[in-house]
Amino acid sequence: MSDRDTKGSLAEWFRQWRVPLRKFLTGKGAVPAADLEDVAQEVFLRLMRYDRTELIEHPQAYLYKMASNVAAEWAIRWRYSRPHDAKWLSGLLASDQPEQNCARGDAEDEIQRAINMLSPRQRAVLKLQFADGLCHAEIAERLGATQRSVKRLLSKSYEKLRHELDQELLGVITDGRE
Amino acid sequence: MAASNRHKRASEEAAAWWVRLQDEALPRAEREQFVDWLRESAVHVAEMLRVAKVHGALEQFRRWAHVSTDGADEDNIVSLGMPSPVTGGSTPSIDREGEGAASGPPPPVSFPFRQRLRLYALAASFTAIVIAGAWPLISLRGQTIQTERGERREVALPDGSVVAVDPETRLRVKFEEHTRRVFLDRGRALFRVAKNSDRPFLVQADGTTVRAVGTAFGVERRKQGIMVTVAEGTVAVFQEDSALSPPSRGDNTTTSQASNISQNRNTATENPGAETLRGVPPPSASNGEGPSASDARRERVGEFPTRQAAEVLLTAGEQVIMQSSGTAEPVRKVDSDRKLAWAKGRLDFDNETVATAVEEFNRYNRVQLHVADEVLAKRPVSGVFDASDPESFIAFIQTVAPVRVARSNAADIILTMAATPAMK
Repeated sequence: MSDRDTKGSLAEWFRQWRVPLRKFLTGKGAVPAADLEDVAQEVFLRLMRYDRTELIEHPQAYLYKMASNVAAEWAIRWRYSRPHDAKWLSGLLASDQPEQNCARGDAEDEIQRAINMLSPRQRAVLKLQFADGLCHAEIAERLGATQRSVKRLLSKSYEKLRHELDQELLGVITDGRE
Repeated sequence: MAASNRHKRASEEAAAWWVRLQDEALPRAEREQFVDWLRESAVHVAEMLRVAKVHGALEQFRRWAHVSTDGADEDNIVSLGMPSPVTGGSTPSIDREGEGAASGPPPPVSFPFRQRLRLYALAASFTAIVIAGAWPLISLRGQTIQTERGERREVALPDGSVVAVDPETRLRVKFEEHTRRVFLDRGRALFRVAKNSDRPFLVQADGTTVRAVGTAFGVERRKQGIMVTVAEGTVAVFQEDSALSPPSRGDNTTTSQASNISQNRNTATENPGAETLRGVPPPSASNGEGPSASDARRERVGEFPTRQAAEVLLTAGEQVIMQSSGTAEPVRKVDSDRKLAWAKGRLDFDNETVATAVEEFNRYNRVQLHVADEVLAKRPVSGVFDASDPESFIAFIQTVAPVRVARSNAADIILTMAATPAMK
């Protein structure tokens, strides 16, 4: 395979991994924050067993697909093997709307708090990416920076947020939507 | 290396990969690197999943209008370690690709990254396993590779050799000009050694040294001694003076030791020496191998009274256990594929007790099995299992014994015998 594919296959490639990512983040295959370590362990072992050349074609697609598959499989297994604990049950009974909105508000607060821990420039890059939907090149142009520094700002931001954000709350905002 | 450091590095790397992978279709070489990085450790997988979660949260976030970016302009590139503020992207940079799309052709640059890729590709063609982050660390100083319970790693060493590191294992790597030296402090590992006859590959564990040139073999620290199993080629296993036991990490004393190593070996059996040996049975004790074990070894020693004292040559499909006392058990013919199956995440039990099997499973998994029944614990079990799938093991023993399974929580499974103890 040549290093650079045509534009058409770029879109294809994008679709290839964005869809599994969405499944990993939301719906039945969503991985609850509490189980993430266990899921990762299982995914790791599956990655080791899986044919390497296959993986290389669409590494991210495989990664998120495997993770959501594991989560979905375990959800089924646990449904049968685990007694429903009271807390979970009451959560089911008190039907969703007001409470969910409340939890969502908490999650928004939490994300905002974490974003405010970033440097102004890191915030600017995130905002351009997520609020304005710009790609790296466009962000670089807008900020008068190199793409390289944009990427660095982004990866630093992600890393900081990963440590800053309450993982439980992350679950609230991503799990089960869509 | 502290676990927290490793986690920190893993999360840095994961974030960097995330950004890189998002940008556009990656060249194959980088995708290879990414896959190998993922397959290096479950920690990497976990971090990658976490970054995705962070991304998911940011995508869901609705209050961007409230996020202030005041000061973003002043907080400029100087603080990022760039030489001067950049305007319009004409400053030389080492961006890899796409940078020039908006502002003319990319500047002529050197590609240290690409060069590294090529090296990786080379290593990959030999081993199929490459590690991105470990390289500079290993070559600059000795590196410690440590795995926790439930964690397996494959690490490519700078010479192209590859180590499959089992859970709960600690290795220290010291490469010098004339020797490649690895200290196995704990656990077990499978070595696939890149050929280099000028630079022997030595694995040291508790006074026992395994010397290889280009071959594949497993070394395991067990209660009864150091077990060496050869899958390919030939290795020499010998005892050393305990004074040659590995230096504490961080120091640089190995160079002098390298030259002493062959000289000092003759005192090996006499001098268990300064280093405390763990609870190992005396050489005369029968050690599952029957009383002939120590006799056989005495013959061997008798043949080579001096320097070659306890040297044992092993070829493919052979296994030996070197006791800490300096006694070598007789060389056994084994199915090395089976005996080294653990390196591929498989557990092979040959008439082991359920207790032993459970102990093994627990090393590979976060879900821990507990046997709350002595009769069950002593029951023998044979078979090959996927180390990551204790459930299938439970299912298996349930077919041969009335075992009751209780799950107190998601991480602990308790096994007991059902009402009537049906011991054969």
